[in-house]
Amino acid sequence: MIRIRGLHKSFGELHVLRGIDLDVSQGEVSCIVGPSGSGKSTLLRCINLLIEPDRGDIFLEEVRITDPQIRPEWVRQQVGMVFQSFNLLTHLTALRNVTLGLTKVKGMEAAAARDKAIFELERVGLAHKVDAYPAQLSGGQQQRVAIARALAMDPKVMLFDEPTSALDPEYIREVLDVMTTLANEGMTMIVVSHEMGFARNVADDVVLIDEGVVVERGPPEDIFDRPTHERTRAFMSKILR
Amino acid sequence: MVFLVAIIMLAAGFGAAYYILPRGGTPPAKTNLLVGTNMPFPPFEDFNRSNGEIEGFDIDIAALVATELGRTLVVRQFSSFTTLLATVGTGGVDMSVSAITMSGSAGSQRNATMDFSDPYYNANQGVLVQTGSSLTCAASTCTNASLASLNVGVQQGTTSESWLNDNKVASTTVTVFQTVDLEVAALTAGSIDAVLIDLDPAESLASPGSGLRVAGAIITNELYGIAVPNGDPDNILSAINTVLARIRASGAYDTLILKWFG
Amino acid sequence: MRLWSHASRWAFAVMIACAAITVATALGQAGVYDGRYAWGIAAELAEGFIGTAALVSAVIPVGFAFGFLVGWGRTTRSWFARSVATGYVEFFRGMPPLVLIVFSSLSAAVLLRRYLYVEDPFLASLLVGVLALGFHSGGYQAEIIRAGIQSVPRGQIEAAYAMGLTPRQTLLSVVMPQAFRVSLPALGNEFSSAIKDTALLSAISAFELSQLAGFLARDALTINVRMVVIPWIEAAILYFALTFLVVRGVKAVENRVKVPGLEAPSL
Repeated sequence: MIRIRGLHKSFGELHVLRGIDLDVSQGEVSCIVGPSGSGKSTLLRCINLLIEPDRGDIFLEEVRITDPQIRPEWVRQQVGMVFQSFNLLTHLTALRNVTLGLTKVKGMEAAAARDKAIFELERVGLAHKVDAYPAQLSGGQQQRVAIARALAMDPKVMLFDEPTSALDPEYIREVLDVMTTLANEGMTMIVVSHEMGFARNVADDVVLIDEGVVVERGPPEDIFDRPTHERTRAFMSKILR
Repeated sequence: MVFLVAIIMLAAGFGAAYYILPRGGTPPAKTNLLVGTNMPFPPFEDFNRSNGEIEGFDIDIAALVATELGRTLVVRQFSSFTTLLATVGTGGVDMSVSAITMSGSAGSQRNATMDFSDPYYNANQGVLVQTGSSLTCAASTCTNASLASLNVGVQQGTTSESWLNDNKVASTTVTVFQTVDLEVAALTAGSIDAVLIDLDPAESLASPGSGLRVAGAIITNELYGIAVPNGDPDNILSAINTVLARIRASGAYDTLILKWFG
Repeated sequence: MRLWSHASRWAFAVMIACAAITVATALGQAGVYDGRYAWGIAAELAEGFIGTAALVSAVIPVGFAFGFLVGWGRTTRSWFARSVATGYVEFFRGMPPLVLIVFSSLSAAVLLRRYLYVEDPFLASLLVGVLALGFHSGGYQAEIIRAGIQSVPRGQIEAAYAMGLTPRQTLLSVVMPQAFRVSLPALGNEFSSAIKDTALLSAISAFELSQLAGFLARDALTINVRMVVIPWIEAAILYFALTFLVVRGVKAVENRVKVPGLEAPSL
């Protein structure tokens, strides 16, 4: 589904991504971990072209999306993203947040968009909050609306950038549950997260990124219990208390 | 992108206009006589509330000139005297009758930007004070010494302003106002002690019940003239002078004086 | 309960107004001032009020239109648009409005006379002066709107892009609605400023309230010096009324576009 080869990105003097190689198959849940500043968020944002890579290629279903001829909007219709700070449009209701992409990007009729939006909001368990504004929702509810918003576009891949890092502990569960259900339904997901429980239980693949390169990757048991690289061991010992 | 287009269109419009708009050659004959004046300056020009017209000695003279030229009189008021003078100088009006002094140092300064007709009035300055003011001038004639230690208001751009700046004693404070209304208001409120203004307006403003009186006159022997832009581009100066000479000879001038100055 | 508090607020205001009118009339009859005179000039001042209101209704929209364009221009990616917009703001904010009005109006008058042979360019030069004041107000409004645009959280723009919205769609659906909401209180402020600035248009002989008050005040001198202050007081009341109306209008718009849940908490 996603193939990344030799991805480089610098911000001024700072060389953040120093040659990332990564594969994610269809239906796979790939969990990206690593120290802060290692380039995880940058990598995610390159996949949906929010950030333009300096060098290297990204293939989405064999289409080279780093080709300058490709319209970023076309790519983003197929790649959904959920952000750490939810990023809901605060002046729109939950329903309108979801229908916006459907009407403006997919060109759906208002009634059809509404139906689809309600369906997605039901899917994340928020059918009763369709007319609420983000300011009236809890953090967990906002993030679930954000997930519904991304799902409504029927993406091929879902990217999650530390989706629970900004949540109060009591809300983390509900969001992780939605993500788990999504994974079980076969969605291809790339998740940047510190939630090791989720990684261990749901992820098919755990990727450790440090200083802009992939250090090690493999099934969760291997990475957590039997890390081979020194840096992996060091990182794991720090976070697995 | 939109901005680039807008700028280009603006530039193109300007360039096109430069070539399309008529320039030089003979302009069409004018049917109006556009006269500029600065109000209020009674009895030369003032606003008549009951009929909403601008009236005064100057206006009547302007009307006579308009008749002589066979054009319709259009009077435009400028709320600042300096703006009026600037407008005459740049040709924004055909002529200006507004108690403009043409003699003395002020006159020669103004001559740089405008041409004057023959003098049509002889004026002096007057000192306007509140009725209760202690200021008195011997034989109703004031001097610069009379204004010692006083805060005196003048209108910007007038000979009152230039006379006061040139002749004041060190203890006199000069406060400059844009309009006569404002300096009279300040005087009535007591924020200034006196107003230096041409004598006839001073007497007109010191009407019964106004709370103001004329402390005395300052003899400056100023001559008023009718102003046209430099070089008389409209060629009306000779007609103006003809009218002035005629009304003096026929006695119409004296009738006007009687009408406005009592 | 809400309806009742709304109605009672209006009833209260009407009562205050009636009381004020009663007191004013009583004072007039008691000889503190000439009541008949005060009422007599009220009609004339009302005309001046309409004149000022007409000027305001030209200045504010011109200011808003250019403020919007320029404020947006300040935030675009195009270096050219940003430079032009910044130039506009620096120029029209830095120039004293009176200078701007008089210079542009007189230049227009002279140019019209000299090159278009317009005999009496009064109306056109008045229009130019009004536009100049509009541009001046626009300079301030542009900065208000720019601040509003820049206050929209970057994350929301990211999210909009991530959904596949084009930059233009994002501007219209995400940025502008929020920027507009945020800008409203400050815009109301600028509008009331513009109302006061219309008094400057008397310099180019626009028919407006403050100059009329000045005329009437001097005219009052011929009647009784104690009445000089009455036209000014009445003019002040009328200016207050106009400003109040405009600001209330802005507040009404604020209420209509308000997002539930985002009200500022009472401190």
